[in-house]
Amino acid sequence: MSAQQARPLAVSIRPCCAQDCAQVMRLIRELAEFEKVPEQVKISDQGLCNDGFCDDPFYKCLVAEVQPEDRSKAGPAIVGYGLYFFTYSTWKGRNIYMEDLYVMPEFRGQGIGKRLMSRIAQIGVEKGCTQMKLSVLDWNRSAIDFYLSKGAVDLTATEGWHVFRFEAEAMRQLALGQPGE
Amino acid sequence: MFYTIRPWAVRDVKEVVRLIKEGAAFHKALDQVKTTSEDFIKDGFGKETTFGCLVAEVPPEEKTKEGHTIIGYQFHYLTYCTWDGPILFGEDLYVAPDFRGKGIGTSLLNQVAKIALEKGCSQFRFISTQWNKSATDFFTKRGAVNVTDYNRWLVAHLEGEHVRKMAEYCVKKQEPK
Repeated sequence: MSAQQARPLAVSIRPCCAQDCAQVMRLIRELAEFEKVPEQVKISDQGLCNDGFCDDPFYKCLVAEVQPEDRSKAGPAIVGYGLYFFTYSTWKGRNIYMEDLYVMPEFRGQGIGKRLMSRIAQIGVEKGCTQMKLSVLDWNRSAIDFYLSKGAVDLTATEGWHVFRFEAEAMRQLALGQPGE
Repeated sequence: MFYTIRPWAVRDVKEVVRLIKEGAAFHKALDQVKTTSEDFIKDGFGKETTFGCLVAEVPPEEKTKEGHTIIGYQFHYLTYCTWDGPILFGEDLYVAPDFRGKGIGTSLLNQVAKIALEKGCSQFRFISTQWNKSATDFFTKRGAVNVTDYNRWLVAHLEGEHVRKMAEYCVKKQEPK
């Protein structure tokens, strides 16, 4: 008798639609929980939907959806997402920025993350982007290893690049600031 | 010294490219600059543009030895944070060395902060090299937080053939478009 081989779940990668936003928000909150800062998530389901589906969307998003034949009764349909937008490098021109890449832990190990990231890369290449940028927490070893294995370069380690932010109050102070002499 | 801060126009692009190269040379990365004036003109002024640029201009009587009146710029674009919503991102802030210490960098920053607020952004983010002390001091003195040190975020990218290889995997998997 031959050994039974479990086949991978049937999962499709498709663009997010407005109706998916509540599910994507669930995954955003899961990711923030993993990153140890769940209280940092300030946007709402409605906010995410407005920002992604208005006349001038701020982002694009892909979702990984378990196909009906493999969906469990109480289980989620949307099990992963990749959120991205287009930026520009003064040195290299068109860029694609992958803001979030997340697959629910119980659905990992099946190549879903790689498929999401590849589709984003393909979209970038189609639009003439020569770079794909991202950020990752320095303690998130499995994510760092995943990206490094795909050819990513840690620019903080190799070139000393750091991210800075001005938060709301500091920005308001700057905006009110007197022009220089 | 009198100067103006304004959004760039097509006529400014060549000058900004000159300043981009000066900034890259300072980062010992002049060989990494592949953008041309044609790229910025094609991508920077249509309906689909994803970025903006402010320039600092001095009057003709203050021009540089080589005759340039555009002596600084700030390059920015809209990004999105799944925690905070829209964020304005600053790619470069540069003032030619002979024109520093006169408040031009501050004025560029003031103006981009106004743009960030007008666009409904809750933050203005940017990157700077850790070893560029005068730049990091300039920003932190004005209220910037070093997110890499404080929150441990690393900056990374995939370039050229690595992006293409990822894209080709997608084709091999025959993902529907």
